[in-house]
Amino acid sequence: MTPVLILSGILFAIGVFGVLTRRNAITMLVAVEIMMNAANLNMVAFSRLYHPELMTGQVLAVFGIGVAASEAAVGLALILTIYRRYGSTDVDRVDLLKG
Amino acid sequence: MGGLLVAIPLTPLAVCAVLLVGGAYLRLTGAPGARGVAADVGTEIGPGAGTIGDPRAAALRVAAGWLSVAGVLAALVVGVVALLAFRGGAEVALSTTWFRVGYLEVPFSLRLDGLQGLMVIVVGGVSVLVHLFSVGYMHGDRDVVLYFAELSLFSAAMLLLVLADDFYVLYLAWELVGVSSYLLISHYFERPQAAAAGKKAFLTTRIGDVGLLLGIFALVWLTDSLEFHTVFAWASGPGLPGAWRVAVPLLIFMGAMGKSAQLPLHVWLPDAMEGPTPVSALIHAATMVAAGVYLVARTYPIFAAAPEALTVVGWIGALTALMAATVGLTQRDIKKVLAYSTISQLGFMVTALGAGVPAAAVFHLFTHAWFKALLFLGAGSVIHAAGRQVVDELGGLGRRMPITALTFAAGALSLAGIPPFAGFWSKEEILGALAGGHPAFLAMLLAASFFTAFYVSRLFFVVFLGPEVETAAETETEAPVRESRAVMWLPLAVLASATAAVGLWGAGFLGYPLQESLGLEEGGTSVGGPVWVTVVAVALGLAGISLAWLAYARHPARVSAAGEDAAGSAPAGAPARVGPGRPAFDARLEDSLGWTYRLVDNGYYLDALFGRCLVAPFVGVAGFLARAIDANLIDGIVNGIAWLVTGAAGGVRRLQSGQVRDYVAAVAAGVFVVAALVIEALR
Repeated sequence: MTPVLILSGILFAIGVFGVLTRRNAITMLVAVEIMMNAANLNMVAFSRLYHPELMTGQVLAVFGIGVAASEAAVGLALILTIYRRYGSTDVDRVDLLKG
Repeated sequence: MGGLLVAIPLTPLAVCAVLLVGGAYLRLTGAPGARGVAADVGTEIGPGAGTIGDPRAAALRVAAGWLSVAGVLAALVVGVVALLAFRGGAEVALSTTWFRVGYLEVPFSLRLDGLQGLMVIVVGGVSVLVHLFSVGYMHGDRDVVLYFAELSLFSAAMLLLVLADDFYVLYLAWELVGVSSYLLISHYFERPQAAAAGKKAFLTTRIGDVGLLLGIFALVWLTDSLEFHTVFAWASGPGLPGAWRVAVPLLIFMGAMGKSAQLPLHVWLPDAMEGPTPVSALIHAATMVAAGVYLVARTYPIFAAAPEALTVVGWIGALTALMAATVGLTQRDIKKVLAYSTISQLGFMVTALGAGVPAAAVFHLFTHAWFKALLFLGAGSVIHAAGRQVVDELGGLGRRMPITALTFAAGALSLAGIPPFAGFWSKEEILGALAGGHPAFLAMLLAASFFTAFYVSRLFFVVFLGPEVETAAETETEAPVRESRAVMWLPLAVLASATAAVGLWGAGFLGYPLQESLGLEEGGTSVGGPVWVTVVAVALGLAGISLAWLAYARHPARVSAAGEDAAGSAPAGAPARVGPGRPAFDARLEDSLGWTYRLVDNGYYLDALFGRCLVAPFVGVAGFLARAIDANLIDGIVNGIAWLVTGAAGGVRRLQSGQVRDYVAAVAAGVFVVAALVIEALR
């Protein structure tokens, strides 16, 4: 059990690190996907631990993968628009909401 | 029967509304003539110069005058019908609830009996003639439609005022009279003096109005009712709270002082001459100034219960009468002479009120309305024809304008108190009543009568007799001064006949029919004075006329501004003509009297005194408040709050970097903190 959770924690940390450090919007999107997969892994692991007879965690993981796919589609559409507007996908340059 | 009363003020009011709506409609639909171009002059003013005015506007301009004449005439006819019904024994009154707010029920009561009937005839009658005169006088004026709307409003307000039977309606009409007088006095609002005069009239009478309003508040508080009969029953009943018995009538009298131009609130009246002359006639004869005297006469039971208040009223009236009569001696503007004459005659009425003879005061109000309207309209006729209103530039008009001169003479004799003209009968009535117990008032009013006879004769002799003076209208147009049109001299003739006749209605040898008809409970019966008072008064009047004749008619020389005898440019053979200049006697009088003359000439400097002592400090304090308190303190607080908010927001604003990663970092940090707390709690 513990190794799975450690792997999941490492994956999540990689994702957070990626989102915080990368300036490229696409790389950030990839990092977000990694975090989501960490969460999926957790759901499957805890489902095996507490209710092995049910498939709840697995079903939720599959559902999460679907949500992640649509999220990726929306995210990519946003990134595409940003690219058209700014000519790059560097998120540091997107600061219209600066106070 | 009572429902008819509503029609009396409503008819002119409807005319006013029609004219305003019609004028506004034509202006909105782009007719320049509704306010701009005079239809018959066509090219006078406005952006459409050179074009012919809209025919609808031209029609409205012509119709306006006759429509308003018809409106007031209808009101007068209804008033006469109602008066006849009253004489027939019917009770002509209307009492209904105007509106109800909680426990407060505001009545709307009108009543017509003897006093009100008389006032309706005076107000309606003089109004009809003034409206008719205005048709001629205001012909071609730019704002003629607006003028007649205002004039109708004025008449309507005054008719409502005299019919009111409770203080609510009275005060409503009182304020309407005030506002419409403001509109009319500043009718030529583009002239700064006219605008200032309108403001001055409104603000000065407002001081009095505040007193009246306070008096009404006191009455509501004391009696819970503002219907006249309840208030009068309270006033004459027992158990009055001491100070209020005197304070209430004095507060009401403050209102009368403002409207009826009594010392020290008389200063607005001479300035009110800036309005068109027919307006002066209406204000000074039948409406505005009559309102104050009428108010006191109408609420006389309240005054009769407080002899102390009556003494104050009497002194103010007598002082006003004497003061204004002396100032009238020196004025050079015809209308100013007549204005001070009005103040003086109002002083006579107020003295009579103070002396406990309201019937005599109302009688004088009645006769004064006719002959003062006559004098003012006569002055208007002169001004219209000659284009000048300063006596220096007028002279010898009698031959050119015989009807105006004759009718003016009738008015002047009436004002001087010469029998059998109207002014004689009412003045005798007042003086006779004073002879029984008010020697000081009697002496002051007799002196005022003498001065009155002198100044009105001076005016007549200088303007209508003597050599002709070249007038401005002649030098500008090359046309000789001519008698006015029939629409203008007809009212003069009617008023002159009235002036000759109406005095008999209240004459002693006929048994005081007018005074009896008033039906006043207090001081309504006339006794007639001793014969010597009549003899002395008439003798003083004749003396004033004779002295004025000696001073102005026998030596009609003029002194030009350079101090030499003014010489005319008339060709040989023509009647003697002189250039403009002061009457010689005035100049000699000023030389010999010096500062006394100038003191009187400037109205005892009361205007300047009020300007220095009241207006200037007020303006100063207001300016200080505006600059120091408002601009610095109030604005400082408001701006300071805004500055604080801006500053605080500027600090918080930095947190919004607009960078996605900063937000993500914040979210991540928050998640770690929450996770740490949860884990700590679970352990």
